[in-house]
Amino acid sequence: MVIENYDPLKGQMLQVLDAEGNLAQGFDGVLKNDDVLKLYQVMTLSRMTDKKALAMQRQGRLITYIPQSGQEAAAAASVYALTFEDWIVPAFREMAGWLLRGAKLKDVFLYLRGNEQGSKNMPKLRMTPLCVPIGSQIPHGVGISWAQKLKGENSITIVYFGDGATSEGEFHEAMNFGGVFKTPTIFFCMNNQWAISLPRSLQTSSKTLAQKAVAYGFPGVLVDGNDIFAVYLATKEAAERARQGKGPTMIEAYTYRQGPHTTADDPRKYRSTEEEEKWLCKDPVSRVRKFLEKRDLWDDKKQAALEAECDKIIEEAVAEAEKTSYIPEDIFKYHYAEMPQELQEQFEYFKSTLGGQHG
Amino acid sequence: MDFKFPDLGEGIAEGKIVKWLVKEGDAVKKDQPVCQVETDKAVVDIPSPQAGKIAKLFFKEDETVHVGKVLFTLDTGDSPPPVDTNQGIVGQTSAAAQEINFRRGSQQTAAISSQVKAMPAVRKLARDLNVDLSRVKGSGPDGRITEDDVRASSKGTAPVPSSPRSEFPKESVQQATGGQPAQKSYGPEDRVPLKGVRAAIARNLMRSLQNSAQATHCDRADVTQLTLLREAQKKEAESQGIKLTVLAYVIKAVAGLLKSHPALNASIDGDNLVYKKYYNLGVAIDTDAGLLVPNIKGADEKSLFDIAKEIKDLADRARDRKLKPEEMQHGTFTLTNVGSIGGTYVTPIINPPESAILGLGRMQQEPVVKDGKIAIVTILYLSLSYDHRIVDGGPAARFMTELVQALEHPKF
Repeated sequence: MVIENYDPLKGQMLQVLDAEGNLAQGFDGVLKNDDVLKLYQVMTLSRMTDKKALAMQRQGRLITYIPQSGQEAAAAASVYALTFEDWIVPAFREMAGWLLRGAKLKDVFLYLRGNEQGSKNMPKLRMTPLCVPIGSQIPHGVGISWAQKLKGENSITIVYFGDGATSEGEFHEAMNFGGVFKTPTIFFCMNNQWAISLPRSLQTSSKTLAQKAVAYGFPGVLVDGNDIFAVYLATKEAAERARQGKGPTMIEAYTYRQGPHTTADDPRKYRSTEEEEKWLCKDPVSRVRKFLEKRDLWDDKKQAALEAECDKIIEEAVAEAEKTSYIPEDIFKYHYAEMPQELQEQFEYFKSTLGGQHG
Repeated sequence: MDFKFPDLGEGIAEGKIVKWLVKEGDAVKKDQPVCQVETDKAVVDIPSPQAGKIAKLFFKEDETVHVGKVLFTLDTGDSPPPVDTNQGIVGQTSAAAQEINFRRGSQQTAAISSQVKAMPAVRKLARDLNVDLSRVKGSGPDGRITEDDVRASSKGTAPVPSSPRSEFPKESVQQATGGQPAQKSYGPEDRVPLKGVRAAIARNLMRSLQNSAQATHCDRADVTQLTLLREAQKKEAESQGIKLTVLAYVIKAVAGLLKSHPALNASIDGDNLVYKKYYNLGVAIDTDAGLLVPNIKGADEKSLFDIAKEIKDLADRARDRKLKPEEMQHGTFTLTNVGSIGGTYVTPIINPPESAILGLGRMQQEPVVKDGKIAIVTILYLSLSYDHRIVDGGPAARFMTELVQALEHPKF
């Protein structure tokens, strides 16, 4: 029972796979080789998409972009520990997890190009759309899980948020509600050390973020967020607790955002290259590759083939997204029950100006 | 294909080329960085959207490129790739967005006359007071109707039938209180629409105080010599039909000093400081309709007598409301002589977009210590308000000191 054995108040952190790809003793079989391969593939696809999307934004082909690199393990392994009946309430930096759940890359690009149709398929996958306003999705996650409990379903909800969100009111309200009503919720905190330019040390004087759960009457556990084994184990156990009616768990995934917060900031202005380099040594993707290579499950040839395949998937998704034109009717349509004359005029004008060319 | 400089960071307008990583004729791969650009948010690599050959670079290092401008052209070989049409989509959108803004402005102006803009609380008040909002002119931003507008128009306005464009159903007009609406005022009062010159003054002075950092520097000048000089020159002036005032001397002195104090004859235009090489000195004229500020064009090149003559002429025509608009435009510095009515130090408000205004207080005899003795001299109170964005306290004080010197030792 990892959740009981790792006390965040004592600063204990669960790590199973170290930075060199060595697995701790006694954890063989937590993830089978095929599981690890599958996770590695999706993490690689996410990493390469990240690079492509960043380039596209610099080329004016995406409006804005939220870099994902460094957080692939936390995103992928947490979703991998769930069933397809469970709900996922994302923030915005869990792409590897969305892809595992079945989200289409084309939809991801559509969304990033400002096309709301990119979120259309999310509910079918039991995912809510990405949530940009910090922390506002946490009560949604608790609400969904409460509904699951009231309806007697066996499914649970995982809700993602960052270290910065733990300072938002919604976080505390949602945590308290979840604790009181024992909702089947996993509060998954991606502690990537930076809330835009605010370092973790200035976010809270709590020693860990996971310990905040203690005050709300349920367990919190701190895990190495760049370790797919640790993330998978903790999430699996939190999901079981939730299914057994034991209520929520908070997981703090200790990880690092390797790129900028979005395409509109420059990390060199607020953090040191030494720090970035230190964290690159703990990179979650290369860590899995080292693990696979140590077990002779991976080599350069396989890597080249995987990269070629990912490149093809990405380019196809980009091409499809870029040829999808649409008129963002929703902006006008859903503001009022009926579109008032003023909006009607603006909408007509908008259509005539852009002529349906909008991304 | 042309690569247009995209909006790299949620609303930037321009960037500076830090470094080109390729040169003309170089082959580039898809997504290979071509240059580094610094925006006000970050230094970023710009990657090529396609593989090809760099045909032309349009900007040099350290040059500024605006969003939507062609940064480089790429020779992609044979047929243009399908993605090509999508390049620079942000540039297109941005141009289109500007057009929308422009159109939006004109639509809004039109909307004021045809559509009612009022918050729900104001609409409720209008219903309660039986006021037809479509007949009320809004004084708020973008012509929004405020509670005060509704209250003002409810007084003495007979209920009018709801026009077809009325925002609320007819029955709610009829269900309103019916009788005279209750006015929450303490006692008898006159309500006069804020309009014309008064409204223009109100707008202009609010704009001045809200958009500049004003400070006032005060000093006094011993103008005993000056008054004697004026007595001597007065007769000659009168023979030419000219009323020679102390104000004319001060204007002459200021016009001469502004050339060596350019910051006091300046304004801010966007990101630029504009130092004007022309000296159009405004004179605040107190009229029945309100304050008017015509200016003496090219005051630095005019003689004392010409200035005195022009002050009289402008003042007379201001009181008769016969000034031409251009006589009140393009001023560069203003003087206000409130001391002719009374008062010592004042805190005048700058006439935008100028950077300073000089207020003249009362001229009166006062005892002062001069050469270790008490003497009776004529003192003129001076107050200089200046825009601290453009003029620092030191330069303002230096200007004032030199002005006092010039007035105390007149050489006119």
